[in-house]
Amino acid sequence: MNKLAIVTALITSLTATVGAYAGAPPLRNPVNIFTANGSSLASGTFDAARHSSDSVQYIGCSMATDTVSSEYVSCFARNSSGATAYCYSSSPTLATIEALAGVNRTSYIFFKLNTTTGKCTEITINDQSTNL
Amino acid sequence: MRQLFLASALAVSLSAGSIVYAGLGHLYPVAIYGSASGGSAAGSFQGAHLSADKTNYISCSTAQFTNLSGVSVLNVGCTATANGVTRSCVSYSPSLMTVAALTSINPSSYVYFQYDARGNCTYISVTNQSIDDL
Amino acid sequence: MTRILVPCILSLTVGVAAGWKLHPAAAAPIDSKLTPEHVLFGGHSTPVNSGNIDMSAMRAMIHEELRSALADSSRDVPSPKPAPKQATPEQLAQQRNAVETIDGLVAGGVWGEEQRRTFREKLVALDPEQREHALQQLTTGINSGTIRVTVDGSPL
Repeated sequence: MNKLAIVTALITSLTATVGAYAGAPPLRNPVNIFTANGSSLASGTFDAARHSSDSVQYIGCSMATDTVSSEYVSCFARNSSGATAYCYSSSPTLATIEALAGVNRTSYIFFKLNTTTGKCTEITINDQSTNL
Repeated sequence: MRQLFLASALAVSLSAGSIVYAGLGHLYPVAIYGSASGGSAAGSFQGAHLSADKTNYISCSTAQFTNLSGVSVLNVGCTATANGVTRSCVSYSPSLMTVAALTSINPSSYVYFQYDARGNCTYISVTNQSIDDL
Repeated sequence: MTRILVPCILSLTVGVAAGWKLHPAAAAPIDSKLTPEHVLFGGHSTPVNSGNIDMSAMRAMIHEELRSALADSSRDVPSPKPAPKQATPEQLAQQRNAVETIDGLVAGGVWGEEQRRTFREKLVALDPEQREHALQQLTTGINSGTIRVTVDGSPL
């Protein structure tokens, strides 16, 4: 009976972990935050944050405007330890705007910020099937 | 041996359809603040879609048309409904950023807009974040 | 054999049903109640184009516009902004009120749903310089830990 229980538990956990993916296996990139030398880096995928075993981590970006002249973008992240990183840019370039227009659940987001000003110094969005 | 086989088959069958999301997720059903003379509305697409309030709804659109003078025009607008109350706004000749924000809307989006007494959008923000990804 | 198959089929059904229940239905596409042909004017829906509009073609057109604009301008040049208008006395009073309110929110050291909502409402009243200052206050406060964020997701 003990053997039975062990085999059952093994098969259940293996199946739950592997799931039913048939294509290229997903890359799990949980939210990471790193701070050093006046900069912070944050990265992660929507999917990894949403599939994480904690209920803490998240990542995302915003675009906001008064529809006339004033606009800003921001990115934010929190890792599993509760550390947060948040940056904004009140003069987003067209490249930044177009990058953020592509943020969705297939996204891997990377952003870098100046910790003194809180401004985003780099934003990268990568959408790919293996982020699901 | 038979018991082992039966237990294994049961375990595999039960696991197959029951992968559980454990990460942080939120549903933000649409909420409306203020009055018809000015206010705001906010909510996530997932929150509205799964809300117990069957009127819960949020939407933004971009509309291109040719006016009577033959000029191509682009307008944008947002609408939200919660508990039977609807608020809308429109923005004429919106900035490129406004249009980009609205075209970024997807199932993981949280939308917030402010409007004035004349139905003008005075503020629009679109947030795409993991916690709205269900 | 039957004694093994029947429980397997039953448990598969339970597993699929549980998975179906646990995973919300696929999100509906962006609601098409407000179709591209309709622009809202003061809450009333007015059709402005009776022709057929292909949404995917329109998105492609908008993205092409963005790409052209990017190709034409330097990457380091931000979007041009119109010159600011002179603020009325009423607007100045609203700005002062917004600045004071935001200063109070930041000084409070906690950022929850109420703070987020109030910040959004007040941000609109600020001029570009004040807005920059408010965003910087909030951002550096969060990153340094002097503002504790209790709301999940975007602080804005």
